[in-house]
Amino acid sequence: MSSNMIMLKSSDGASFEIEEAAARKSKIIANMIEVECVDEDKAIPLQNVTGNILALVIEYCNKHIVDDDDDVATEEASEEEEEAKKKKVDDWEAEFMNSMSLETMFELLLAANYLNIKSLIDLVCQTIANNIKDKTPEEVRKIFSIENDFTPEEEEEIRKENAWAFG
Amino acid sequence: MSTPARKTMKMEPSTTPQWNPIPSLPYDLVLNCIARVSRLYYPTLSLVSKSFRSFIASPDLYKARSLLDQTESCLYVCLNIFAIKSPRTIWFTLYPKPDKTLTNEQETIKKKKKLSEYVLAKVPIPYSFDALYNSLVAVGSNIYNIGGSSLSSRAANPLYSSVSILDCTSHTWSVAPSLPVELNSLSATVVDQKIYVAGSYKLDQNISSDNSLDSISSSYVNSFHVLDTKTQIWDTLPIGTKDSLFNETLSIDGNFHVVTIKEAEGVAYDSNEGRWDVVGQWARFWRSSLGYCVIDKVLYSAITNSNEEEVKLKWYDIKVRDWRNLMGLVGLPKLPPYAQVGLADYGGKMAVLWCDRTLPSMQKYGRYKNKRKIWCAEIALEKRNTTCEIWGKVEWFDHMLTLDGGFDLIKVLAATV
Repeated sequence: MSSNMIMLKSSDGASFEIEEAAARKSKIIANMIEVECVDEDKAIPLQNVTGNILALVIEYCNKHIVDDDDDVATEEASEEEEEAKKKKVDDWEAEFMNSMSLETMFELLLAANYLNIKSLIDLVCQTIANNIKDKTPEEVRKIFSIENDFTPEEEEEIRKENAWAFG
Repeated sequence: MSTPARKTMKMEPSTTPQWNPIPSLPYDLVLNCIARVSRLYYPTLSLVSKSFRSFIASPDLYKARSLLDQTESCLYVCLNIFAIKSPRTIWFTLYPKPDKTLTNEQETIKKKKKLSEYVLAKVPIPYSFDALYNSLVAVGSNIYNIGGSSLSSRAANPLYSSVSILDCTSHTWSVAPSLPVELNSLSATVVDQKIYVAGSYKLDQNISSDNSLDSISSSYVNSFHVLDTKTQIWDTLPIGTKDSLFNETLSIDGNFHVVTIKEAEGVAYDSNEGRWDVVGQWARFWRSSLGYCVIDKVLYSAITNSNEEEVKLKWYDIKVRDWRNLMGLVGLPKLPPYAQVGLADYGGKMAVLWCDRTLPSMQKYGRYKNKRKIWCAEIALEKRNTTCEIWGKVEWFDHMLTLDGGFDLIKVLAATV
């Protein structure tokens, strides 16, 4: 595979060099490359992504482009090898997501959505889901900056209605 | 170069509703996140805000769960309560225990004892149709009650034709197209998202004075129908057998099996060929089966031995046409004789529910002073091809409920939500 390098520029002016194959993880960038609106000397400006978030996106893309290459090379890998490899990726992803705050996670999600990187969107959404599953309503409000628009009476009413679900 | 449009994931959600429960995120990302949360936590999430509450109950969310392959098996338990004034059918579902404040020590004890983290919670449905074991089937997120009628009308001359659907996402009943005929008895089974019904109706309402078994059975006519749950259209099948039906049907190897009272045979419908085949002996088994289910095309049953002292979980080996014990089951309490047992395919594992049966002498209204406990176990199944055995590993079991004795465990089903 050719290792064409392309430049990405974040909203706050930071430039990143990235292999084309990695950048193609983003459907938006891949489309731009297809229709040749990428000038080799110029960086692609990404107005909605800050430098620190773009660095994370690139880290993710680089990691996964390597995995895709592996897939091609070891097409006849045994089931165990496949499993071991999958576990390695899972571990890496868990570590990757663990290293960031919830706030960063949301920014990363919006960036992945803007760049249309489906596997990253799914990874972040799954992590957020794991994060909120056993939280109290108050904690969920805090995570998503949601205002409680129930009156205490309404809340009591729903709790009563929901009593079935709470044993 | 133009600014890339904000492209969304390929979920094709219906148009963004006026309300978005998480204003800081685009609606399809909210769907993607919340669809990945286990449904068990939805009651808690419904307390977050008004828009969250509407969202948790919205079809969009359940569509997203299905598209993202995030649906879960949810266990539903149907009980009939005997009470003179208000005999009724009630539904329970398995939910996680709300207490999250276990100390580490308690946590360890719980794990050691393999206790569950679940409770059986009553489903908030204002009214449920009368249900019989053979009238209930689950297809996707719906539980169908074929021929359900109200308990009060049951006592008179029951004729079953109406069909109702319990939507397990919203816990509401709706009406589906009725059976083309009114049946006196029936049994329904799901094969490939289609509901097959075998039943019979009385040809002549005047029973002849000759009360021999032959004349009674000959006055009943069998009928066989199939409901395509996608199109909601009933089709009539050829008559599979003229023998009296045992009112037990099941699906094995993708075929609809009907059990007849005759010792000899059952019949199976081959949907590809559109024909009925005579298959082996089933009847002997049904008389000693306390409950059964089909998981991964294998028929499992809780079977009492001949002197009714012991209940064993067995599976039917279709190759040798005989029953084999389910191996392993370490830690599973002994199922009491005379137990009521419900088995269900719980996402590929086996859910076993059981409770003591009320003794026959006590089965009169108003005399249920004893309490009965309902137990539940979840069993992982493992086929060992080399030895042709199936092993069951008890993942957990627990006492789920204690109720006044006047109830019947009708059926345990798993809906996919």
